[in-house]
Amino acid sequence: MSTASANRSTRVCIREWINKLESNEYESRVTSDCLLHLIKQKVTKDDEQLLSALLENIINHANHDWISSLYSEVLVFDLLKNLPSEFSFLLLMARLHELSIGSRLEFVVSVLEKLFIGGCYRSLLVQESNVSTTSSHLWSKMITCIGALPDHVANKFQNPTKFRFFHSETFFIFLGVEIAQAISTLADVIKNGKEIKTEFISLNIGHFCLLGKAEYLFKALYPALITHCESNFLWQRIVQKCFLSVPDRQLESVLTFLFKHAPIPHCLPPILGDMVTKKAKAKYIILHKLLLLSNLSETTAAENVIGYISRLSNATFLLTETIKKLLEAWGNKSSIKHTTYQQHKYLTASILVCVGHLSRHTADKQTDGLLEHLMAGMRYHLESPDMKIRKLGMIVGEKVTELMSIPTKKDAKLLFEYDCDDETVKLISLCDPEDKPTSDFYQSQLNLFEKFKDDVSFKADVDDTTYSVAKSSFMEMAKAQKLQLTTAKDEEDNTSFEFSRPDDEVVDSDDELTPYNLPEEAAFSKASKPMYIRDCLEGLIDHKNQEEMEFCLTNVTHLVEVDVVAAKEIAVELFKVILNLQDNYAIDNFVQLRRSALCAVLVCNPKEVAEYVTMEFYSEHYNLQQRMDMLDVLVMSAGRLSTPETDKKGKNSEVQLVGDVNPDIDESSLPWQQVVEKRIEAKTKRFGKPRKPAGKSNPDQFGPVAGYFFYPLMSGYDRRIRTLDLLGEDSIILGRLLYALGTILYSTANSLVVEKMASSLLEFVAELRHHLESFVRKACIYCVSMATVSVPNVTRLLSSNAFDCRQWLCDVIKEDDDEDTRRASANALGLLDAKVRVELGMQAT
Amino acid sequence: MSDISPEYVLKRLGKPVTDLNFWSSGSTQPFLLASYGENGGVDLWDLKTKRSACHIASHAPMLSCYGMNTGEVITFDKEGQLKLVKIRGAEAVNEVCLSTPNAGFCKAAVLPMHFDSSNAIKVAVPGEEMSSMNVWDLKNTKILSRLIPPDGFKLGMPMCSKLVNVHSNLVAFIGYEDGTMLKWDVTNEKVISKGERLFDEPVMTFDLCNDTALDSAQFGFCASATNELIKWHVETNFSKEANLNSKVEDFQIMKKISLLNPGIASLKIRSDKKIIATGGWDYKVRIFSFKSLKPLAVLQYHTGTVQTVAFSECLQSFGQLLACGSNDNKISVWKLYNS
Repeated sequence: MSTASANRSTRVCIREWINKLESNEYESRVTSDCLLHLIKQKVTKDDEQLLSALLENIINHANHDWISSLYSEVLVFDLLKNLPSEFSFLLLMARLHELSIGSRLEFVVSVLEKLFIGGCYRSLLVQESNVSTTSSHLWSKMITCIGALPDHVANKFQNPTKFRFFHSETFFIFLGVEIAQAISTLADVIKNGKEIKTEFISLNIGHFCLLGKAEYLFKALYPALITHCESNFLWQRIVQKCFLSVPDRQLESVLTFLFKHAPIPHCLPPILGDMVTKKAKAKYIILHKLLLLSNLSETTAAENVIGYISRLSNATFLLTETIKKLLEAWGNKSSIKHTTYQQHKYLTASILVCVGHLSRHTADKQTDGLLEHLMAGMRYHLESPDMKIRKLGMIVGEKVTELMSIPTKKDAKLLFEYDCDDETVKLISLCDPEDKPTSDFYQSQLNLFEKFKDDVSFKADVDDTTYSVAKSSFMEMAKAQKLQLTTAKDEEDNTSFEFSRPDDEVVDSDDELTPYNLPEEAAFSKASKPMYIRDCLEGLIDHKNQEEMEFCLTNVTHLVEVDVVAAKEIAVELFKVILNLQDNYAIDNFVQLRRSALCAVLVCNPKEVAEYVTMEFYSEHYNLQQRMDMLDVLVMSAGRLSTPETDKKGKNSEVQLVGDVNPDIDESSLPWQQVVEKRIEAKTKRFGKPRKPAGKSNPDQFGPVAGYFFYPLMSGYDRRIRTLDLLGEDSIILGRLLYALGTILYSTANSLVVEKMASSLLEFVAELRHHLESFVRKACIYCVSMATVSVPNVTRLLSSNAFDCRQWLCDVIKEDDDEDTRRASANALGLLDAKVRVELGMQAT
Repeated sequence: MSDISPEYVLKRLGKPVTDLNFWSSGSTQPFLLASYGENGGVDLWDLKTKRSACHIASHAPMLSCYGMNTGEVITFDKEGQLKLVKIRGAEAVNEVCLSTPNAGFCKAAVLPMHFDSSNAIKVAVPGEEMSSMNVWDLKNTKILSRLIPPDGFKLGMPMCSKLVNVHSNLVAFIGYEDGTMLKWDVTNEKVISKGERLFDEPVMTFDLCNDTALDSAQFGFCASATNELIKWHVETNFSKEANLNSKVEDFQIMKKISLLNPGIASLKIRSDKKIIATGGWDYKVRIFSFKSLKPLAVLQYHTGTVQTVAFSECLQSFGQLLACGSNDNKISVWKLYNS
């Protein structure tokens, strides 16, 4: 009864004040009095509506001077902070919406800022987590309003220097800190034996993440969660419940952030608990979307996802399920072809992480179904023309079979040969799961939280006291002194080192005998070097032992260059023998040796050998490697033949010149005439420049034979033979063929035949450019580019084929699946257009 | 210093050279004794005329040859025939001929005359038992001692050996197949070293000389089928009271160096103790300084394993020569570091 009367009295009181203010036209003193009076009053829920009307009136009508005074803000803040936060927020935010820019708006925002800093948001969170509150429609309204605050403030003021507190980043970091502190309060509440609800916090987190503010929100919150959840069971319970009750539509943005940005996988299970098994949506997001459907360049997310599930109670089951799914996606032929390499690498990385974790769970691996997927997938990978994809296939093959321990024989493992670069090392290292973090890690996370908390706490910086100044200057001095000490020590070390050295020399100089010139030590081998090219040929045919073969193979190049005439006679036979050489002895650099030998032979007799090679390229009894070697050799020799002789010689003489003018030469060692000449030269002044001799011209070696290199290679691509199916599965050879043709064409630039060759190449390309394999399409683009740069007059070419090509390039840019191909196409198009522009005498824009 | 080439090269029979020794007997003529593999026998090369002054024929491949001051040559072949041959002008007369069992790779070790006051010619050759060596008095065709390793040693065949006199006690150094070097008190047929393995592979060759500072000690260099070359120092103390109880001493390794290519077939110390020469499986002869084993020269001439190297004494009008014999049938003669 008494409370009711009190209520009535409050209500009456407010009414009275409203009237009084109106009659006084919101005079400053009266307004202040009113507020001061109301602060002392006890306001209940029923009075809120009236009070809100009063405040609305004050804000809208109060005297301008009063509004601008600092005093007013303090009064309103004092009034509002004792009222329920929900009421204050809604009231002020409604005002914020309605008011236009001016001092009244500024007043509202300042009060809001004060409320936030004063901890109203935190108390709101705690208050709404009370088990007795029911989720009200106000919640979503309030959360939306809070989330939109930075945008509203920014939109209203259009001035980034105002209200820094409401800058998106600062504001959401602040909210994160407040949420962390609210959770800490809730933990205390639970400790006191009361129950709580977490829906409101969940809604907050979910909504802010959905707004895309997860990055800022979790900046401070995440380290706090990591640290406290690890050590505090109550925190763990609250936080897990929080994330579990995030609504489905907001869940994805929350989880994606958490998994992408967890510093280590170990911190996730305490935060998320076994959410993945409890909530279907969560499972879908974590195990499907994050692993299979997202395009991420960093593998952190995959590591975190799999690190997380591997630490759950039924981890093995989940891991096996996941790896099966991954392998299935990984081994899908069309996905290999049509997804980007980056994404595919991400999949591979996920599999490797899975393997790493599965191998820890030794018992009961359930790896039955894996082999099937693996084998199919590996096949498609190894067939791919892209070296990088093949490498991924090999790595996964090795690791998964190792996991399944397929071979029954001891120590027998599936091993591939591939170059280890940074990427592979990184991938392979994914198989070793990280160790449990040390307490240092948690301490650093806690420090991170504290740092952000300080950053957004908006307290005045501590002034430099005399003490702190004295301390810092002392530290500096100490540092400098220490530095001096260490340098002095270093010098001492140096001197002692200097002393120790002559001792050694004394020992050495005991030997009065001067050594002769010692030849460079070389590993000894019994075989003798072949002296004649025919011996070499015989040696290669017999190849009785490794040494002999190695010697012959390494010396062929030299011998061919020494005795060109003899080499020319037997060039074709020599080429045949070397091409069919098998690496029976596992000679180092066998492929390179063979290639350079073949190249030397081809260069010495280009016409006949090129005819032979191009014919052999389409004959039956070769393997793919040999065919690729043929192409490589053709390209290399074309390049070598087309390089003008003068270039090679010029380079040599240049090298010698450098040696001649070596300034270190001791004058005393030269004959006296030279010394005198040198001195005269140095003192002589010359006026005018010496004329440079005109560049010597040499006959083009490649132009006349280019046809033998070029046309026969295009002749048989559509013929299918037992060992070669260019249009079918051997697309890698087809692509290499196109690259070779393009390069050979480029080597003929500046010769008479180039235009004809270019237009036939474009015709050839026209038939292949819609090939399914992106490797081949890219090769086609390469050919077009080569044709563009090689021909002297591309406009003439445009009339026939190039126009068509240009159209195709545009289509590729528009439609191709493969990003690299699109990029290459754009480049080629740019090249073509630039050349046309130059030819037409237009300025490049 | 600039490059170096041989003074001259000797080649007569198309046979691999197995052993070389300079020999200046009572006559003024310095000779180079060369033994050959297959059925090459032994040649006496006259260093003035560069011709073979005398040839000792043999059916079996020769292992070693050695010239005595008394004008006799001791030859040893793969069939175990140990012969004492008297040279009379161009004629060679067998004085003693005896058969020994188990001739393998080990050359016959002759006690140099200047070590010995008695008139006996003492030679060590492999004995009847595995790993054993017999020391013969060749003049009287009598076995003086049998050096049979005690139980517990698994040494394999003897590979190379040397006889020296220390305080008028006969001492034998033997390198074995398993890489062990042993020092024997010959008179008492007793091992007087600890028998540590110096190498993982057979000891192929070694040479030693007296330590001028310490009467009873020797410096030695040994090499094996590995790529290591070891310089050691060993002391031999015969206590005067109890001649029977000679002390067991270690080989002290003073220096060890590694070469790039493994296998050293021959090694000799020059008598002035300034340099040593090694002949290798890599066809190269290497010169090292005696003191520090610093490499001084690499002689690249041969195209076969250098089976033997030999230094001459300081010969009048020749200086100190180095002769190298190889599987490529040639003997190259070099002149190095002659002061």
